Amino acid sequence: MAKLIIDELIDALRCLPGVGPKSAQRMVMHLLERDRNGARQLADKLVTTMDKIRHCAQCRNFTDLEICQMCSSPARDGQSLCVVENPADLIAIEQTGQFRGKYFVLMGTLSPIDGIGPDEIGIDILAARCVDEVKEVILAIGSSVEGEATAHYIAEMIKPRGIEVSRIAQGIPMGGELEYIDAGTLSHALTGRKVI
Amino acid sequence: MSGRSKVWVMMISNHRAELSPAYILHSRKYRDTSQIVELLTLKEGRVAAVMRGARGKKKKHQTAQPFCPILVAYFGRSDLKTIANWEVSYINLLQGENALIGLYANELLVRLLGPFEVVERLFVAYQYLLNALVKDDETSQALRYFELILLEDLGYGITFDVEVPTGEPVRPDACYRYVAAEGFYPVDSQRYPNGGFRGDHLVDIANKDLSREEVVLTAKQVTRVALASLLGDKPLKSREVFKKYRLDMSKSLLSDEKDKS
Ligand SMILES: [Zn+2]
Repeated sequence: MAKLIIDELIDALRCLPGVGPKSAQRMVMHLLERDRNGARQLADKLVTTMDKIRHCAQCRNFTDLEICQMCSSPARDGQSLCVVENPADLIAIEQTGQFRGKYFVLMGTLSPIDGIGPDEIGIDILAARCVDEVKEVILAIGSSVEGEATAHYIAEMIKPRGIEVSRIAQGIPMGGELEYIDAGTLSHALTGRKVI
Repeated sequence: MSGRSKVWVMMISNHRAELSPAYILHSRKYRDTSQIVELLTLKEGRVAAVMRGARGKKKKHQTAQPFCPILVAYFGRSDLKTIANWEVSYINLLQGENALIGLYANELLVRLLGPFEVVERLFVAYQYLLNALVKDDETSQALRYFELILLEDLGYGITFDVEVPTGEPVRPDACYRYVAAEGFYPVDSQRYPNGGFRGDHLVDIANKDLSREEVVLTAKQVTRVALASLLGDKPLKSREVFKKYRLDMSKSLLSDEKDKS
């Protein structure tokens, strides 16, 4: 019987990215042999997080509140809205320290084949956001085909409302040498060139 | 394995490893660093293949992008092939609404085209469509042409120039209604909603002459009915995206008008 429970846990751990059967087994053995308390805490936190975390009603980022801390913070500039694909992108932009506005998290990009349409990326919530206060929308969306379609959709929807829409530059990484950059990146960099 | 069959296997694998033209229709994550890509290939139609090391920080290749013509070599005996080697021939950047149209074409192909059906004409029509989308020139003609060839290559080609049920040629001055999988029935244009489809349009479409705008519109309406009957209960997501797109654009324009007045 005991073996069955362990096997179930090993299988369950494989839902984590990068965890195959071998490393799942190692984790289970580690927890059983050395850190049962840590494991209990982990189990408890997992349950609480999965039960309590939902999407912020304004920006769709993960939060345990109705409106997340960033959306309700008076320190953030509500005139400027940055649209990102996912929470990890938001964190990356925050780390640059360059942006003091608020965010909107799409949780994906338009991808019809994957069944992801405007509703799935919260277009209506974004449209409702783009009234009153917001003066500028920055689209920090990747340069994939789906990213392109998504950025176009949002830009066309918002522009007639008199909001300034920009898209972050796509191109050469810092320290990148042109000859090693793939043709797709280089084409994007060329189409998005600016006058200096 | 005998010497002779070994040579034979090598010949097969060499043949499989040849670089041949293809497009990536769609890619999805597979394990941690790979992707499964749906390809439209010139030689074998739709092929699904694993592209190893396509994702992650240490990725070996550039990221696989739809719409760019590629040369690809793959191997494997099962239906899911493994990509041995690939390179991008050139970059097609579809911008704005044309990217949505491209995604629509890809969804159609993934939904309707079975694996390993040879579709050389469709491959060319797809290429033609992408070129039109890149140049942003005659895109609706190219899209209708692509849909017509898709239906033909799937074995559901529409006979535009023959009347049902008589089998007589369509009369340019008559009007018709279209029934999916059956064909065109003559109707009284005075009584039929919107007057039905005009015979002269149908004759043009039969000759693949899409130079007149109203003919392109007729082709759009007919192919939509024909494709919908093939797609069954699950309509295209792209169609839904387009509908909502038009709705959202008109809403925004309306609110813009209100602001101005
Ligand atoms: Zn929020």
